[in-house]
This record gives sequence, structure tokens and C-alpha cells, in this order.
Amino acid sequence: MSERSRLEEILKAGSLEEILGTAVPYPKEIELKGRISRSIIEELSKIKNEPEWMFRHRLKALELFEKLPMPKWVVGVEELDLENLVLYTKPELEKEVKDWDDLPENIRKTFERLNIPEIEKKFLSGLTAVFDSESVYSQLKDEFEKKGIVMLPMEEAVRKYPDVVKRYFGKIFPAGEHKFSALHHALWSGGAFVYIPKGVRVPFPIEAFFVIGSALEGQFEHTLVVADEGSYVHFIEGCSAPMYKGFSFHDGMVEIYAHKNATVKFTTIQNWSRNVINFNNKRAIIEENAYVEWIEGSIGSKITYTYPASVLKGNNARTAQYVVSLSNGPFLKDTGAKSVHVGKNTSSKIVSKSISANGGINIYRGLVRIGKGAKNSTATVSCDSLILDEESRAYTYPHNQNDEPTANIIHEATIGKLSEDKLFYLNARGISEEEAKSLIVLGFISEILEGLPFEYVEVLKKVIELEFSEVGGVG
Amino acid sequence: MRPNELSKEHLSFPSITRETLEKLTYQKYGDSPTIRSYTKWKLFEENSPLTLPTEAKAGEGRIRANVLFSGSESKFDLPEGVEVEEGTLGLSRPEESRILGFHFYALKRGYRLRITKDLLEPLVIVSHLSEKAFVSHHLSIEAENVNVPIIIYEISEKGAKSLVVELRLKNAEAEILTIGNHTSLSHYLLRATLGDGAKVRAFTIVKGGKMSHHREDYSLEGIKSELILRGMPIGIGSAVDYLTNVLQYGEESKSETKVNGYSHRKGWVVHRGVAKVFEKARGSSSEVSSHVIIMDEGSLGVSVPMLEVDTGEIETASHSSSVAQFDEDALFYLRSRGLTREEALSLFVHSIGEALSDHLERLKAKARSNIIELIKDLL
Repeated sequence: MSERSRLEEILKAGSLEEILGTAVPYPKEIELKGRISRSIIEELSKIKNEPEWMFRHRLKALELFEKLPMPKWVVGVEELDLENLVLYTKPELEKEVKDWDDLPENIRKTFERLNIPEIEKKFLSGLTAVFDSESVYSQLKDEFEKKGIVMLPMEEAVRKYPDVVKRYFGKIFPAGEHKFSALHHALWSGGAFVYIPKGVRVPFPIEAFFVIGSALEGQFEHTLVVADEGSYVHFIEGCSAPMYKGFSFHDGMVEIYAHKNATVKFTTIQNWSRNVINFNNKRAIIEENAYVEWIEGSIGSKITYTYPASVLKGNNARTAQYVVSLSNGPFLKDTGAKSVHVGKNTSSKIVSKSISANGGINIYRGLVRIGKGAKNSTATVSCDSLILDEESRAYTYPHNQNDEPTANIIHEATIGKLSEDKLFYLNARGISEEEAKSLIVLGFISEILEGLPFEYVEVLKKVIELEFSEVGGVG
Repeated sequence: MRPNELSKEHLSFPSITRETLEKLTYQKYGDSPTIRSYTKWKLFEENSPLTLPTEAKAGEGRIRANVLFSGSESKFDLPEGVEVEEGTLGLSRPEESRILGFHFYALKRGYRLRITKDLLEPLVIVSHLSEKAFVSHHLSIEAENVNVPIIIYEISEKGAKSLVVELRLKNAEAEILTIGNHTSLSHYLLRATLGDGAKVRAFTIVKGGKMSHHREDYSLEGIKSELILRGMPIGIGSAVDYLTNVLQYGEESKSETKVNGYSHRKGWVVHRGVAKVFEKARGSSSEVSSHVIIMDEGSLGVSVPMLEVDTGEIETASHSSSVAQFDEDALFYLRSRGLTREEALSLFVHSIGEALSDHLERLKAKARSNIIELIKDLL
């Protein structure tokens, strides 16, 4: 392949997993596995050369992990043998990575296959690439560094900016919320720290890309985005994994703090391979007049649990959560969104679109809570589900709680089958059934695609087309 | 099989030992924030049959009833075509949850009615408690090839009262009007199975007491079975957790649930409406709409409409919900036409009540007079 755009290659491939191929064993410097205990944490902390406070934070989380009960409503987790997972892997890096060329070939190739270096060059302000447990590449374009924007692997931020990190880390999504958040805080490794100074607008998105390179691997990356007053940032998170036997477990966390008048857009395009059990913890705290937008696209993985949450703390704070999930085949997506209204005149909007095909299950689980004193707040929720065949399922579990008489919550949901007349119409115009299905699905989620950068939309469209062509031959 | 033979199997009601009861929990998935129950179970725990006497004297009944449960007393005055014997239909079990465990633990006798003729007058059932005790009432009703109007009055004045009604319909049409008017703790469970061609039109109005857990389960098993369910939970300085569960198994079955709740003076109104369409239920339609109005500061409204669809061959499935105050624009419209705020509010609440009871035929008037009675305190 020449230097030409790899985008084209991605668009031509049979499936994204195919692009990544089968997992190749690679040299690892360190690998930690076994029962999750104090000694593992000690070792992990030592490897990372962490300050004492972070070590203590991990130990406290471990204690909580041991105490907290396993959530009963979570299915599929019983397949996970936490003790058999590799809890931490450090890929062997020979020298300091300043450029893609400094990376070992196999790791570099994985990212190149996904077109990441090219996307970085063309339209990102900065990029962090995480391979298994470590951030292997982290670069911010010079012009943005000069403006005071900080983008670092999380570990480095802990050492370099302890005061800032301490102020936010684990404060937005504390370890004690549930068993998996405790596990995450005890074992976190990798991820990005982003700080946008007052009044700075980052014109192009910043991206973090996560790859789980081997089976029976636990990935616990932690991303923290702090947007100071009046700043603007768009953060894109991509996830992918090659094919392998056995399961891997992803228990990541994203914490966002949007200060007064700040805007944060956070986009996730999750396309793990079918061996990944994906558990996500995402929450934003939104101050006065600030706005946080979540776009959560869940396409891959065996089982996904993800509910981006917004806490509207300040007056006039706003949030929008767009959730798209596609379950094609015997996979489960338990997704949704949560918004908690605390400040006055706050507003939230949740739009969820799910598509179930070939025995796929989609669950929408949402929570809207308007607390006392959140005067004149409004929340709207709409979730639409599309079921493409008889074996597939769609469930919606919204939860709307209002404690404030001047506030409103409005919720609407529909579940529909793929309408025969639409299919027939497209068929009659010479479009095959598979093509028609992907067209209908793309039309169904077009509202959400609108806000994304063009290149992403192209890739996403392709992914959806591939999902359906797999079923009945490429259209 | 003749119904007679069936009844022998369940002649006595299922019982439960104290030991088993101790192990039961109120809700299996009590730890999930989205499906957690809102009933204040602690109150039932404090007023359980383990702490309170399970017998009580009969109170003064003002309503003429065909079936009267008052305290521990049961009286029957049945019209032609209705027979009574002891037993249950076996649609509810004590092991299901702690509250049902309590119900069966305290239960002294269960009765079973068989309706074999069309009823001209509505069958009136009263369940009443006016003493500090935990008392259980249990009634099963079977109806085949008939048309029956049923009115259930539920009054809990003191202590904790539990009423379970089991209903089995086949080729029958039933209108069910349930009126709950409580001051203390109450637990209600209606469990109905609708066989082939069964049609139910139900309207429930419950004014919550200290804590009222009111649950209605309908299982649409027969082909073309139909349910129209309307509910009006009201919390005025009191709490009501209203649950409607509609399970659809039958092909071309239809269900429509509409609930309008009111929360007033630190009231607590929760509606959780589940509609589940199983794989077998091809060509079915299901609709849930759940709206709770918060009338003043300090009142809580929660609406949880859940939809589970297991088949792609669905006609329609949708739900909508809102938790809000009165529509100020509409109030303003009426006020600009010369009505006072109070008059406009009253017009609203009454017309919602009328709209909700409009699907009833023979019990419409009865429903409306009860609505007027129970919403008085709202206005």
C-alpha cells in the first residue's frame, strides 16, 4: 500500500476485525496476573513510580472492591474469571516514543491499520494511544502546547501535576459507587489527562485510542478531562481489538469537569472485537452555564455496559447525551444515559437509538433525576429501537424521578420492526436487501451522525455497512 | 378438564414457614438504581405479621358487598351464577417475595369464586381493616364464557392490610373497577390470566395511605386477548407505589396502559409500568403511557415505563412518560376566559378522570362518582 490514504483501505475491508487480524504475541516488559491483592497493587504502584497518595488511593479502592457486593443485575460477568486475567501489561518499548517510528513494529502496525497516524496528522490537535495497559504514544501539536493545553498519559500527569490531578481524580466518579468502579480505581493504568486553560478553544478534536492486544487481558484506563472557565474541547475516544480466543475485560473510566461557561464534547466510538466484555464508567460534572455533550457509539464487543452520566451542578448548565448501539449477532448492549439536575434552569436531552439484528439484544437503561431546588429544569428523553428480525430483542428501562414542581421530564420511546414497505420500496429500486438494511439503519441514526467529523462518519458508515453485509454477502 | 377437578389441586392455599420467610427479600434486583422498588419496605417490616397480630375484629361496613372481608371476618352474599369454595387458583406463591411471604404467613383462609352466568349487577368485593394488625385477604375468581362487571373496594384504616386477587378468564369479558382509599399501610396484588378471546377493561383509582403498594399483573396468554388498563394513583400527603405489569404471550394480543398520577402536599406517587411482549406474541401491540403531575413543592413523582420486546414481528410497541406540573399554558388559556385558577384546575383533573374512565361501559358512572370523591382533596 502506498502513502495514499488508508481510509480507503478501511472502507474496502470486510470487517474492522479483519483489518486488525488475529492477535500477535508481542514482547512484554512486565505482566501482572493473579488474585487481586495488596501485593499486586504494591507492585503496580512501584512499576509506575507513583507518589504515596496515589498508592493509598488504590489500596482504599481495593478495600472497597473486596467489600462491595457483585451487582445482581449484571449478566455475563460470571463468565469473567477476574483472577485469570492479566491485570497489567507493559509493552516493551526500547526508547522514549516521540514519533510513530519509535514504536515496536507490531504495535505501530496495529495503529496504522486503523489509520490512526493519518487521522492524527490531518485533523487532530493531539492523540494518546493506549496499547493494553500503557499509553504508548502521546503527542500534542506544538501550537496547542504553547497555549497551555496539557495532554499527557495519566501516570505522567499524576507525577507532574499532582495538585490538579488530586483535585479531580476519583472525585467525579468515586471508587465506592459499585464493585467495578472500585476495581477500576485499584488497578487503573494508562489513559489520558487533558487540561484546557481558561478561555482556550481547541479547534480540532483530541483523540485517545485504545487497543487491547491480547486475550485474557484487563484494561483499566482512566481519562480525566478538565475544561477551565470558558474553554472548548472535543475529545474523541476510539476502541478496538483484534480477534483472539478467550475474553478480555475492559473496565475504563472517564471523568469530565466542565467549569463555568466551558463546553466539552466527548465522543466514543467503541468497536471492540467480539471477545471483549466492556464495562464503562463515565461521568461529567457541569458547572454554571457549561455544556457537556456525550456521543456514545457502541458497535463491537460481546457485552457492553455503558451509561454516560451528567451531573448538572451549576445554574443554567446543559447536557446532551446521544447513544447509538448496534447489536448484530448474539451480543448484548446494555447502554443508556443518566442525568442528575441540581442547579436551577438546567436542561438535559437524551437521545438513544438502538438496532438489534440476528439475535442481538439491546437494553436502554436510563435515569433522570431532578432534585429539589432545580427550578425550571427540563429533561427530555427519547429512545427508539429498531428490531430487524424475529430473534432480536429490545428492552427499555427508563427511570424518571422528579422532586421539583417547576421542572419537567418528558420521555418517549418506540420499538418498531423494519417496515416491509420500506424494504420493498428500496428493493423495487434495485437495492439489495443487505444494502437496504444498512441504508435504513444509517437513516435511523443520521440525527446523531450529524455532529461528528466527516472522516469518522465515513468509517462509522462503513462499519455499519459491513455489519450487514456479513450477513448476506457484500452488497 | 372440568373446573371441579382443577380446584382439588389447590384446595388449600400455599403456606410458608417462619424460617423460609426470614430468608426472603422484597426485591430480587434491589440493588439496581433503575429497577429498584420505591415502596418503603421498612414500614412493612415494622408492621409485619411477625410483629403485629394477624387477626382483627370486623369494622363497620357501609358498602353493600357480595364478598365482604373485614378484619378477619368473611361474609358472602352471592348472586345467582356465582359459587364459592375454599382454595386459590395458585397464581401467586409465598416464595416470590417477602411481602407475599407475609401475606401467606398471615392468611387464614382463601376463597375461590366461579362465575358461570352473565352478571346483571356488578359483583362487589370489599376488603377492609380498621385495627392495628397485619391481616391478609385472598380471593380467586374464575370466569368462562361470561360477561362480568367487578368492583373491588379496598380500605385500610389502621395496621397493614394485604389483599391478593387472582383472576382467570377464558372467552370472558370483564370490567374491573378498583377503588383503593387508604390511610395506613396496604399491599394489593391483582394477578390475572387472560385466555383465548378474553377481554378486560380495568380502571383503578388508588388514594395512597401511609404507604400503599398496589400492583396489577396481567398475563395475556390467549390469542387475541385484550387489555385496556387505566390508572389514577393519588398521593396527598401520602405515598403510593403503583405497579402495572402486562405480559403478552398470545398472538395478536393487545394491551394499552394509561396512568395519570397526582402528587400533592408532600405526596409520593410512583408509577412503574412494565409491558413485555414475548417471542410467541406475533402481531401484538403494546402501549404504556405514564404521567405524573406534581402539584406543589415537596411532592415527589416518579415514572418508570419499561418496555421489553422479544419479537421482531410486532405491530406497535411504544411508551411515553412525563413527570411535570400542570400545563401552565392551558391553565392560562382557561383563566383568560374567565375561570379562576381553582376552577380551571378542577376542570382539568375532572376531565382527566373522565377520559381515563371512558373505556368502561357498565361501571362508568360508578367510576366517575368515586373519582369525584377521591380527588376532592386534590383541589
